[in-house]
Amino acid sequence: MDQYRILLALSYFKEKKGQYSISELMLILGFNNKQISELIEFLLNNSFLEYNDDILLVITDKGMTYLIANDGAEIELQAVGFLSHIAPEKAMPIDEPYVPKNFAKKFNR
Amino acid sequence: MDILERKESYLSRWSNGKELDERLKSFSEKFETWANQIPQKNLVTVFVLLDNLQYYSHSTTNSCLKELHVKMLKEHDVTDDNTIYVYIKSKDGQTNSSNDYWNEYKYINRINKHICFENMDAINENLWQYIQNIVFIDDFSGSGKSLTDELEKHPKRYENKNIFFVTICSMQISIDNIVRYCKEHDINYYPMTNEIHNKAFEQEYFENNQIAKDEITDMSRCLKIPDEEIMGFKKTQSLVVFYNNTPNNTLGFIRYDTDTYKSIFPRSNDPRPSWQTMNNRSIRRKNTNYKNKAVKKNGSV
Repeated sequence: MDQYRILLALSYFKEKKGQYSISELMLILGFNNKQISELIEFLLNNSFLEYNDDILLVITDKGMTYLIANDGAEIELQAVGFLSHIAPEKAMPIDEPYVPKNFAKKFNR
Repeated sequence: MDILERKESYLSRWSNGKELDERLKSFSEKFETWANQIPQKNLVTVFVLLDNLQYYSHSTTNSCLKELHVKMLKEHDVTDDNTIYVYIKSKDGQTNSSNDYWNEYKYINRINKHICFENMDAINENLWQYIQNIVFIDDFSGSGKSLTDELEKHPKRYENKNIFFVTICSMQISIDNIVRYCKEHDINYYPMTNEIHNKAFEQEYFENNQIAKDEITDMSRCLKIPDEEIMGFKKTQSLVVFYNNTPNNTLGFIRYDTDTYKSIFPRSNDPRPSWQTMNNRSIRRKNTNYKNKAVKKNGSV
């Protein structure tokens, strides 16, 4: 599970308190339904989020601790904007060089 | 009752004594300005309608989703082996409020993810024989058209199946329309709804419903609300607002913005006036031109 997006999601719930929207969170994270469901289930199963007495999703103490411990407490959602839709599980490894399109043509000129 | 007292009474009723959500905060800020747009002679009728408006907060809708699920399991043979949970997508395929309700329903009720489908067409035809129950989840059903249109796409698929339509609120006319459709197509239909409403001008709010209806129609025309929006989609005359959107079945003056009129609970995806979309198109065009120049110059993206 992509840690940056976990921290973003926890920041979102911390900031919004009970006034969240799953669709809005999907836009911020660049996620589709399957991805957001996996993320929310992960956060619920690990007790980072819970449904409170008003049946609203809220961040737990454990979720806050995780956020602070991973330097996520200072994330400002407004500065993040909306992430592009990508499939994190298909992301290239960080140590694999990225070759731009038509690079060989430029190089051989 | 003066305007401020009236505002406070609405907020108190709709918030249920809890902290105001964003929509109610916006209502609180805009109320006096909004009321000043309404012609004086129409205020009494407008306030009677607002007195009977139902506002569903996030907490209320989530409570309903939980209670309706428990009720459905108690009263019907609904199990993981014979049931799927779906929602009705918007025609343009974009994420809509139904998506939010479907997602929350799954999380609140801990529904098995393998029986939740964003796209039913992904289910192999051979497997439909094992599915007995299809649970549609939505916030509101005004006319029933969205469900009947969905069922119409694959009539054979739904024949002799049980359709459960979980909604926070439904209009009586919607239930009647769906019952009629399902009877004609051998579908077993079970509405699972928290509240059933009747049309605003068929209740006992006014001494004379027709006069009140004509008054609101004339007022809406003065506010430049299009005719087809005045009484709501399919003229359902609904008085319903949700924490995240206002159904298009709700009376037009409550949710339809024009160039000269700002409504009190605007619908989040009504078409924008052309002068707003032109500005967006211009910005997009400039961005595209810039990117194209960059690609041409550098030979890469």
